[in-house]
Amino acid sequence: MGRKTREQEGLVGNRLEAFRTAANLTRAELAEMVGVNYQTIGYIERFEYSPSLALAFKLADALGTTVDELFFFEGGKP
Amino acid sequence: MSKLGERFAAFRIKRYNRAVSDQSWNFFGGRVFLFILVIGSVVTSWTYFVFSIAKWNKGFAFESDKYTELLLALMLACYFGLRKALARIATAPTGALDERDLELRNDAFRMAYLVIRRVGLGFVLISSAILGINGVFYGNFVTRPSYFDAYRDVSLVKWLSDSLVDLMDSGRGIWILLSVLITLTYCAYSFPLVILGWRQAIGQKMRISGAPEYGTFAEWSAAMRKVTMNFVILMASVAVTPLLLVLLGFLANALQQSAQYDTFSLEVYVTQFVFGALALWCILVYFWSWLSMLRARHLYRSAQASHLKAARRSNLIMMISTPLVLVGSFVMQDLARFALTNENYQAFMAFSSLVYLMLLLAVAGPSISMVAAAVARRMKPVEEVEHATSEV
Repeated sequence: MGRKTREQEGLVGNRLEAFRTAANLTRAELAEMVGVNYQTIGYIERFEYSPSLALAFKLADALGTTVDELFFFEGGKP
Repeated sequence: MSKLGERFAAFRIKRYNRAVSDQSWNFFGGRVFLFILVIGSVVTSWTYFVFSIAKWNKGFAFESDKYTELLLALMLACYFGLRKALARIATAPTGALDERDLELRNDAFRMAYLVIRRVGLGFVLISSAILGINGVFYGNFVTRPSYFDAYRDVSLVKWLSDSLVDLMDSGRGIWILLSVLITLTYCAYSFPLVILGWRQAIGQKMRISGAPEYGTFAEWSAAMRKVTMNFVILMASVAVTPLLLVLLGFLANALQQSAQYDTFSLEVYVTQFVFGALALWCILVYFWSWLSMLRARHLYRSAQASHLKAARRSNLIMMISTPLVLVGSFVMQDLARFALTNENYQAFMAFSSLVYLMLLLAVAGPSISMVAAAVARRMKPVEEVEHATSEV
């Protein structure tokens, strides 16, 4: 037994990069808008970090979309 | 939160923002430096602890106490280096971190706490038991053979009291206790940084810091000014320190004379202290000047400094040549000594001259680099100059 891997936990994917590019924003600008470090945006875009619910709503709000448009869930086992 | 608490929190965030905005230190965040700092921190602290035990037990490294000051200095250098390298996360006030940074930091601290709690406690218990038994053995049967009594009543109370006396009596026992405390305190402070640093060095979870980013050349120039000014202040301190130390020396002598001490030995002592302290300060400043060159090199990597190729090259040449010339001067010194023993006076003169020349170059290297940096930071890129001219 041990900690579950990302594959076991299921991956939270997103369309953040597409929405950000469409909004003509840099990572630093988006980070500034939602109050996080610019590196954090990069990690979310590369699916290496799953944001908290609060941050997900902030991101969706900043990009003028909804959370379920921006994020999706792949392959989690019940 | 009280007003005082709020002010303190605001002060911490302000200080943190200032520290993070100084990108000239970010070279510490590079992969190679982080490996050196992480490995250095672990190795020096363990060596320090092992040497302390070896000394106390009169074991394989009886003379090891000679190195404790050096090891402590290296431990502290690694710790402060790691703090500087990981300043954005490790030493930041909570209000300045986002959720991912907090998760990274909390994870490192949690893991460090678990490791220290289990390994540290087990280590202290086992080593205390071994050292306690050894201490009683040495205290009762080796270092005090005249007290040996075959019919002596070795009760538990007597055994414990002897152990305590032995710990307090010789000074050695207290030293090992102090070493344990120093090592544990050091581990408690440095281990979370070691975990964070290791993760960054192997590229897990954290990004290696890249080239510094500045919006304009003026911002880059201001950052380089910090580096050169810091160097100038340190150099000025080397010039002023002798005066201050001599004044202090006179003052100390005057005070001691009125107290009817042996003034001659005191004068010798104070003079030695003055020159010893001065030499130490000069060595520290000299090594700090190497850091200044590294900071400058990191700043030259910025896109804003892409037109300053000559200054960047001169800094690199000084960075490489200064340690080489310093080592070369030691080699020349040995060669000069060898020539003197063989009565080859011409060779001795030549090698001696080279020693002084090389030492002069080694000392002047960082200054040359900083002068180049001071000139370079005034050289705007051609586009900016043209833009300013067309506006006029």
